[in-house]
Amino acid sequence: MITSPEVEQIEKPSGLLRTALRLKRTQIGLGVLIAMIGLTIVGPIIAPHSQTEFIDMPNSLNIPGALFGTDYLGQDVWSRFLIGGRSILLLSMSATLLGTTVGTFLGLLAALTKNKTDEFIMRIFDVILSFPQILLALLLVSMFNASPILTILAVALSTTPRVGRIIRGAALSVVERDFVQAATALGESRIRILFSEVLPNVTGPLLVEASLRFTYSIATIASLAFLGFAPDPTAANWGTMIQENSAVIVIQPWGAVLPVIAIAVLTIGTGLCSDGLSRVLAGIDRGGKGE
Amino acid sequence: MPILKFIARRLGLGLLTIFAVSVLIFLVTQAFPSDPAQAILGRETTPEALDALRQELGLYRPAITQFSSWLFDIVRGDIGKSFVTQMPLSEYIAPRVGNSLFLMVVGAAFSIPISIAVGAFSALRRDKTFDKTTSTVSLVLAAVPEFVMGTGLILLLSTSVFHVLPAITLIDAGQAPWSDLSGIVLPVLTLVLAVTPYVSRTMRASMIEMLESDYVEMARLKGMSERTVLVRHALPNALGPVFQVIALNLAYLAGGTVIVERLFNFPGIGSALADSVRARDLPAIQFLTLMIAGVYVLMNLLADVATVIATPRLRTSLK
Amino acid sequence: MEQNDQFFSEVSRRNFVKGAGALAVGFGAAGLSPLQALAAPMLPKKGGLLRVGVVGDVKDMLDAHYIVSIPDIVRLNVGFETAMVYDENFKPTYKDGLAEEVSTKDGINWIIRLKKGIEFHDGKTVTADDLVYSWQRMSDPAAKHSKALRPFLNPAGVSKVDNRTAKLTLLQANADFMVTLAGYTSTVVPVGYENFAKNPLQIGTGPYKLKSFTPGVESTHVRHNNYWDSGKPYLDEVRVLSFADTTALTNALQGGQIDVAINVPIAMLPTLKKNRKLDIYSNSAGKITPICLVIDMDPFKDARTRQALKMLINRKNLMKQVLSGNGRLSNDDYSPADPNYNSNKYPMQEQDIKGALKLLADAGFSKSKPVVFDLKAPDDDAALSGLAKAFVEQVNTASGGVVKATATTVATGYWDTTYMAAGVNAFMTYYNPKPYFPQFSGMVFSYPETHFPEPTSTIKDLYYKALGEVDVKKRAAMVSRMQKEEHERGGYIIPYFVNAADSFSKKVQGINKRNSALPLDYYGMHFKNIWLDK
Repeated sequence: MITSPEVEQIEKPSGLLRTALRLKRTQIGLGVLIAMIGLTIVGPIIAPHSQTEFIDMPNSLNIPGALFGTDYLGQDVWSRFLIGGRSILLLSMSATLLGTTVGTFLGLLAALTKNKTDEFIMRIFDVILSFPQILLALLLVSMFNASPILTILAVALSTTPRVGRIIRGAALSVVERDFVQAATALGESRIRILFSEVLPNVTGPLLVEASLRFTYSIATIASLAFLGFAPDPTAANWGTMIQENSAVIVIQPWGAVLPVIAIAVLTIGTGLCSDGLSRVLAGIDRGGKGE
Repeated sequence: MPILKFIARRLGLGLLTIFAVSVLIFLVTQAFPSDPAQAILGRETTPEALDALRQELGLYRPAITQFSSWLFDIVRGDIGKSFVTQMPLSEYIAPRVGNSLFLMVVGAAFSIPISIAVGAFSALRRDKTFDKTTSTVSLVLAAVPEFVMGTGLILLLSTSVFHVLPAITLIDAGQAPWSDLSGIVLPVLTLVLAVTPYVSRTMRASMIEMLESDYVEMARLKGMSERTVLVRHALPNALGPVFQVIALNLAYLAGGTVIVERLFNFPGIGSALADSVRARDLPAIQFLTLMIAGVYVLMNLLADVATVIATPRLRTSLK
Repeated sequence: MEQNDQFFSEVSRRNFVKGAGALAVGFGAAGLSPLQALAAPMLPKKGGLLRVGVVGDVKDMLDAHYIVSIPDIVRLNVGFETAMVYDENFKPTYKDGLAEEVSTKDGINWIIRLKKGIEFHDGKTVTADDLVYSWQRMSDPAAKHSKALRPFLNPAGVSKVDNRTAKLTLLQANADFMVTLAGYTSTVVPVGYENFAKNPLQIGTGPYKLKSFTPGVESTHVRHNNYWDSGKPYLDEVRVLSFADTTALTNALQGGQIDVAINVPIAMLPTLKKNRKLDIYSNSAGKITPICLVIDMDPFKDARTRQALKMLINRKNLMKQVLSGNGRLSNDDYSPADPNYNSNKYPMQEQDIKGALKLLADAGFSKSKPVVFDLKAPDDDAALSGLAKAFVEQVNTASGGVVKATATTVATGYWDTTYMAAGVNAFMTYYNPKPYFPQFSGMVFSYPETHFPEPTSTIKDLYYKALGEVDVKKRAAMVSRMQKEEHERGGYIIPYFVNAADSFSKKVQGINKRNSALPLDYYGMHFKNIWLDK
């Protein structure tokens, strides 16, 4: 239902990245993102305590050896903070990767066929797009419990049509071009044309869309955890931590404040990256929450 | 009239989509790994009672029959009974629709004018300080998930830094949604902060496009004052695409508020869905998701129609 | 262990009751120091609206004889009353009940005589017909709520004697039947009563009658003008509001949006105590949150596995971690206020890793063949999910890998899909404080969570025999045998008794701060004792 933004200018991905990196926002965003990824890799190693170890009286501050005190269950807030980003990041990366791959394939296919297949794919996309992203994920996860696989699938499913539409829009203009027409005339197979001729020419919008979807995947997966649908509710997870510790925010704010800051910084970082990329790509300013 | 034909086509397509959505919802909830009859009667029941209730609920019928009778009942306006309370769902949902509507309207009343003003002004001051500041701020706001922003606002305004606003909304049953105005400030603020960036950025983009377009250039060349050019030519044409985003964001406000309503204990549709999910109340989950998706589709439809009507260029191309 | 048995003996208990009574008469409202009370004797003020907050959802229901969740208990108590009521030592009394006298000669035939002039909300006087209908409804074998009552009573055993008197003829002797009469779900309803789902007109005898009820949102109850306890109630209206979680509940209390919060999280107590506008009611009567191990499922079929887990835990640390110390230790036993509590005088189980590992080795478990199970808990109550997580962490660490347990918090439909469900071998539950016999009957008959007792056991017969026994000493001996079997072969791990806490605004007056079977001393005795100081 949203008309795809017309991509006028198509650049090579490497060139796009290089140009984008000249923008301050991309530099900051990428720096923040790398720092956060570093945190989730190094964090679990340097965490002084395990994520479930009982340290001292719950909701206490000023405990020797516990930098930010203990949480609602007497566990070390600092250690849980250090550990709690890994699963969110891994799940959202996997979901984004899967959703983007499938979406790209379907988008390209739709653009190339331009017949009943195209129509069919687009109508399926419409149906999935009729659900706000969190609603579809919540529906699926609440029906079958939040295993890591299901969480990835649920988020990927809602990501697919959003990527697919953009890629189809971008690919449509490519398909009309001479070299694709020539390849078709030469009798090259469709799949070959898709991957060797069309795909390299839509990597720009693909990159922008993937980075944007990554931001939303993080938000959706953290929100699910906040609603109580984390794959492992015992494990440290920033979304779960906010939910667990917000009741005692007045006496022990760190259990909620640290993950609030972490999620905010992470999503702002990815947001800055995708904004930098999209600015360079076509100067398009995007609209539509979750669209 | 091509415009009527266009609307009819869009409407037909919308209905078709909603039908497909209802199939999807039914499929997902049909795979639900529990027996509704067991859920209603609890564990301490007899096989006979279970059998009788399954019969009564029509659970022995083929899935396609169950689906069609469910959909047909909804079309007739009978949305069924809750599995857990055994009361008509309409009694549970109706007052919440009003509450959510109020939240949505208040949110829109703030976010739409603010975002149009900010967007238009940023376009006029393109790449100047105001534009750069608002673009950075809205980028930050757009990226952060609602529950993180909401929790941040609670920390800032009600529990830890300042103690000026209540952290939850309390609207009693039978009371108007505006009966707790101080309690509604934080949820509205969260929604406005979440939605405004998108609308204002779209507004800015389309305004820039208009300002650079030929006929604005023409108007300038004709010697019209900059003010007249802006108000009479640029602004109305820039508003067209914005309708779409406004409608989309209204849909978001109505539906995607599960998190915000849940966070502030606001008795609306979103929190009703969160509650029903928690209680595994199948009929409520089915109807509420269908309703939210329906609003979503409807808003998209309105957006398309409004965009076409508001944009002379598109209107003429319909012929 | 730290239980002072002398304190609970017959004589001292009576004295204690008298003392408590004198205190109540002397100082009137609770929450006042004696000095304050002497300086300004406060008379209850009439009028006003009391807003009560409780964690609840769309599953909230209203039935005078049946509850599922905490809000159901509150609503049942606003509108309905029982023949007798427990005092702080779980002794049934007439004071706040509808019965004038309850008597039996043989433990089989029980005569209940009603107080005079009790009116239902609709103005009808309560008669023996209503009493008969109530007990027939409660003992209806087809009803969910009759399970514990079924061995003792069926509808045919209920009859009318005269206009104010009814007779219950039990199927077997029960010398302790008063305890059942005083259970808060044994309420008196008018002839023809149906629950809210079937009839929204909820007529009872309670001090407030139902005006409106929306599950998951609120219920409003207005003053019953012809209430039998003269001068009461004081309030015009009581409103019970549901909150999605404890965060929202305590936020509302601190923000002044509600006057009373039922069941506040222990973690919030320090904050709430600091707030000068708020008062705390703490109930140490013995609420429990048992870890249920299903004894006829692996890996718990062998009693040694159960015993080993009981020895692996450090109860003190669990209590510190989950309750911040607000409780007292339990030896997997329950009903600490009962005269027969811990009749075998078992010493408190200390953490005994060596002993536990030996038992596990004897049962055939080792690091290469560990005890594996998943302990399930609902996610809306940190007292339950927190204990599950802390328990799992402790047994895993202490056993050094011989136990590999996980804890899962179930976000949706826990009490429908997980609790006692087929195939689930370890899960959490909770009980409000009760005397020994009703608690035993609850765990074995109404909610057979652990599938205790084992098929060869005779403990059920012993239970019926003990109930029929009039001689206190003989009965105590039987209880000792029951408790021995529970201690040695039971599937519950109960590390501590929870000090349940409620919090309320200081303008709320009239709450008796004694221990009680229900929060806030039966919610200020159906809210009839509560008044607002404006």
